[in-house]
This record gives sequence, C-alpha cells and structure tokens, in this order.
Amino acid sequence: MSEQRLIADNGSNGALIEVQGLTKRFIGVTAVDCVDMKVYSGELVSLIGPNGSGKTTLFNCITGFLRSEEGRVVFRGRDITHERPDKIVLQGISRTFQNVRVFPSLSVLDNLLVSLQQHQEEDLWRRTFHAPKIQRLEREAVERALQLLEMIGLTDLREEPAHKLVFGQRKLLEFACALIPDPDLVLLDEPAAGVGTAMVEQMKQHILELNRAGMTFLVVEHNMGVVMDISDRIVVLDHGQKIAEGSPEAIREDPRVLEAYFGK
Amino acid sequence: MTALARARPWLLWVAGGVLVLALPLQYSGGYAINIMINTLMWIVFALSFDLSAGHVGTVSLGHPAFFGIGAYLTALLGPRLGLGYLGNTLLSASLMALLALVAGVAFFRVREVSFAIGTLGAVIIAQLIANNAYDLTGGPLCVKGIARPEFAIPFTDVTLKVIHPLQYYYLLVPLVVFTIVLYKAMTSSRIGRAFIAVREDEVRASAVGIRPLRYKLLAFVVGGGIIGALGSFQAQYVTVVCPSEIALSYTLNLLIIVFVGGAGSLRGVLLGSVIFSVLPRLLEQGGALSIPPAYQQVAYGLILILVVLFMPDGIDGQIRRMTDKWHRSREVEVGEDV
Repeated sequence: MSEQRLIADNGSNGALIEVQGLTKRFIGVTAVDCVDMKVYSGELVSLIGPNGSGKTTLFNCITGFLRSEEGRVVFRGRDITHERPDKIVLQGISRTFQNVRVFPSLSVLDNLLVSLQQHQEEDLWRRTFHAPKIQRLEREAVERALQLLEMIGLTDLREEPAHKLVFGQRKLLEFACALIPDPDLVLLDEPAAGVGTAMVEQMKQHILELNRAGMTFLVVEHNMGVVMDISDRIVVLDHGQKIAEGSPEAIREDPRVLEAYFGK
Repeated sequence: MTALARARPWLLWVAGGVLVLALPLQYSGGYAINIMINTLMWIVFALSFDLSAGHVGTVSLGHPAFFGIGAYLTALLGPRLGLGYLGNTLLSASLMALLALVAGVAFFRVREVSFAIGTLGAVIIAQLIANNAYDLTGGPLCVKGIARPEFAIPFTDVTLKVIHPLQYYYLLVPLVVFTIVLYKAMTSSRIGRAFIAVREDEVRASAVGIRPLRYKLLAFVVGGGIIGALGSFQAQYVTVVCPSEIALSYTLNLLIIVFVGGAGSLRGVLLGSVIFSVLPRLLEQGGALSIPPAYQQVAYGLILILVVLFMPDGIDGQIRRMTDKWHRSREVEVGEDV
C-alpha cells in the first residue's frame, strides 16, 4: 500500500516537497490553517507574512518539531508528516532557527562535524572505537567542513568554542551547519535578521550562489529587499492562511498582501 | 611541539598505572589498603555517573540503586546459581543495564528537574523495599555470609580464595581499567560529540539528526551496568549487603566528586574521586578533624554550594585555565624572541 501511495504521489505533483492542507492548532489559535504549498527542486521560495502569521510554526511542522493536527507533508514522494525531527533531517531537509542555535561549548569545527556525522555513519560500536572507516569518514568530514569555513570566512576561528563568536558569525556557522550534509532542501528561518547590512549582503550572496548551483531553499524572511532579490516565488501567510502566492513582482502588487501588511 | 611533550599524556598514564599497581604493595596495611580500594570504587562509580551527568547532562539522583541492587543480586542469586566472581559480576552488570534501560525509557520522558526528582523517588523506593522485604533481603538484618571469590588456577588443583584486601584490590583493578577505557573511548569519539550536543541543546541536536533519547539511554545503560558490576564486587568484598547500600548519601558523594572535580572531564572526575576518598579518611586518621559522618555531609553540602557558585567547572576547569594561561604566556615569550 505504501508503495502505491509513493508512486501516486510522485506522479501527481513531481514537487520536491509538498505540504497538503496542513493545520496546526494551539489552544485558542489556529497557527497554521489548511496550508497547501509546493517547492520544486532547484527553486528558491520565500515564505513571508506579518509577525504571528504562522511561518515558523509551518517550518516546525515540516521539520517534525511540532505535530500537525491535519494534513500531510510529502518529501520526495514520501509521507514524512509525523516523523521525528532527527529522521527528517537525515532524509535531506536541513534547517536553521530564528533565534540561532549552535552548540556553545563545541568548537566551530566540531559544530560542523557534529552536523554531518549522523548522515555518515550510524553504527554505535564502530563510532565508539574509532574503526578505520570512521577515521576515513572523519577526514572527509573535516575536509568538507574546511571548505564551508572558507566559504563563510571563519577558517581562522575553527578551533574557538562557538560561544565566543559574535551573533553574525554564529548565524553564518549555523548556516554552514545546515549545508554540510549537502541536503536536498534547506529551510532558513530569517537568515538576514539581526545582522548588519554587510552580513545581510554576504548571506544573500551565499544563498544565491548555492541556489544557482542547484540547491533548493525555503526561506522565511522579513527583510523585503532580500526577499524580492532572491526569490523565484513567494508564498504569503496571514493568520495561518495562505493568502497569496506568486512571483516577486506579482506579490509586490497584490492587494491582499498590501492589506495584510499595512491594513486598509 | 617536542616529542616529549607529545608523548607526555601517554607517559602520564603509564606512571599512573605503575602507581596504582605498586602503591598497595607499599601500604598493604589494613587501613590504607581499604582507603585505596575505596578510592578505586569511587573512580568507577563516579565515571559511570559522569557519563550521564557530565556528558549528556542528565543528572540522575538514583545511581545508588544500581549499586545496591547489583550487590543484592549477587548476595541473593549468587549462591543459588553457583556463579563465580565473573559470573556474579556479569549478571549484576547485565541486569542493572537492563534496569537502566527500562528506567531510562520511563524517566527520560521528563526533563532535568523532574528527571532528577523521579530518579530520587526510585532510589528511595528501592531502599524501602530492601528495608522491609524481610523474606527476601532480611531487611535491616542484612544478607550475610556472601561467598568470597575463588579462582581455580589452571593445570593445578589449587584454588585461590580471595581473602586479603590486597587481593581484592587487584581484583578490582580490571574493572577500573575497563571503566576508564570505555569512558575515554565513548567521550572522545563521535559519540562524545553527540553527547555534548544533546547536553547543550536537545532541539538543535535533533535538527542535525541526533536522537537525544538514544544517547541519554546509551550513557545511562552503560553507567548503570558498570555500577551494577561494582555493586557485585562490593557484595563479594564485604560479604554483607545491607539496605544502606542503596543510600542517598552515595548520591551526595557522587555529586561532590563529579561537580567539584569537574563534570565531563576524565581528569576532573579522577581527581575528585581521589580527593574525596582520601582526604576525609586522612583527616579522621590524623585526628585533626574527627567529625561525625552527619557533619561531614553538611560540610560536603557546603562545599558543593560554594563550588557551584564560584567554580562552576570544578577543579579541572581551574587547572585548564591555569595551563591555558601558562601556554599563552609562553607563546608570547617565544613570539618576542623571534
């Protein structure tokens, strides 16, 4: 039966990820209200909406941190609706957090390595006793981590514990941690929030470059300049409902969007 | 870096090993050897506790239950099953690992404070049962006359019966070595990195594919198993098991050793174990400070409070900061030379 569903899903949409009628209720509030959306492979889709419109909640439902009441999430033709967060990330969906989470006492390099190791090897026994295979995987991981550190410009700080980094650097590190397993889909929660203009520009360039190289992004962002610049497509949420979807140009002109943001 | 400096950690281990093996030969008198056995036991106990408390960040107050129940298992099942020392130890270890698995699945559903309180409740219940189930445990009258370990020496008719404390000391050494090697292997590998990730941020850990429950259970089960083995040793060493072996005072001792020594650090826990096993005995022995045990616990409590307030990463943290400073000042000197 599951095989049938798998084929049916692949045939019906061809999207990398499809959210179908997703609903998440908290006490007295419907934070996400029957939202449908798709992201195709290679796209860069932005999710926007006023504060409290349900963007982060939708992220948390997709990545398994919150349990949705209705609807489902289909990733690469597979239903991942109620799977655990750690299983979902291993299937190829990485994410960052709005309030920036890194492991404070681990070094910058270890933060990257710990973000990759579960993708590489699951066997506890071999992991404990440093089997040769693990040593090889560890070397590969370090190599990949150093490439990413070069990219985000934190190479010199690789041995520092992450808590010594300033906010913008932590943000870049978290971004690199999301990229290191080479995921199929990256969810970024406000990549441009809280950092200076130079850093915003740097982040934007990284995202655009990676997207051009074929990486798929779903981005929650409040900085409209960034959103308009980078997005192939924009989805607008308000009070948990999808009120508009389209190209940046179309969204800019959409009366429903203007109303949600500025009122009548 | 010079070759010697690179070899130093290794040399230190060898020196430590020689000391551990040779010291009791020098001081095999009754009192000293008992302190040394006690020290080794606390090393095993505290390292097992630290796997959970220091690395994964799950502070259980119930670890004495593994020790006490492990001891009772040997006391009650040992004679019936006719197992030798190794059999008894392995039986206690595997059953306590199993208990840790079951208790872990139950208690790890709640977090931090609730977890600590839950495990506290469990150890109190275990002690109540030991005290009141007369038919099984003899209650406060204890289980007495547990057989001492015997080893048949291969190719001869001779059986070696372990009686003298010195023999018990060397019987304990393999468990100590096993514990240190396993501790080191687990915490300095990828598993150790995942442990720290879980301790620092469970949500973030999940987001990089680490399942927090799995690593909490791993540390808890390994620790529980080793402590079970230690309990079995205790039963065969003192040949009496009383309800007081499931004691909350052990929990206090563990907290003191691990958090004053330095949670999550092998060096810190080793130092803590040695200091808090040897120091109180020396003070008693010297008559300098013959304080009754109850006051000793009050003093421990005070030390714990002061350390948490003023030395949050313990003695090991202090040492690390001092050596860091020293290295940095040397770098500066070298830098000026060039």
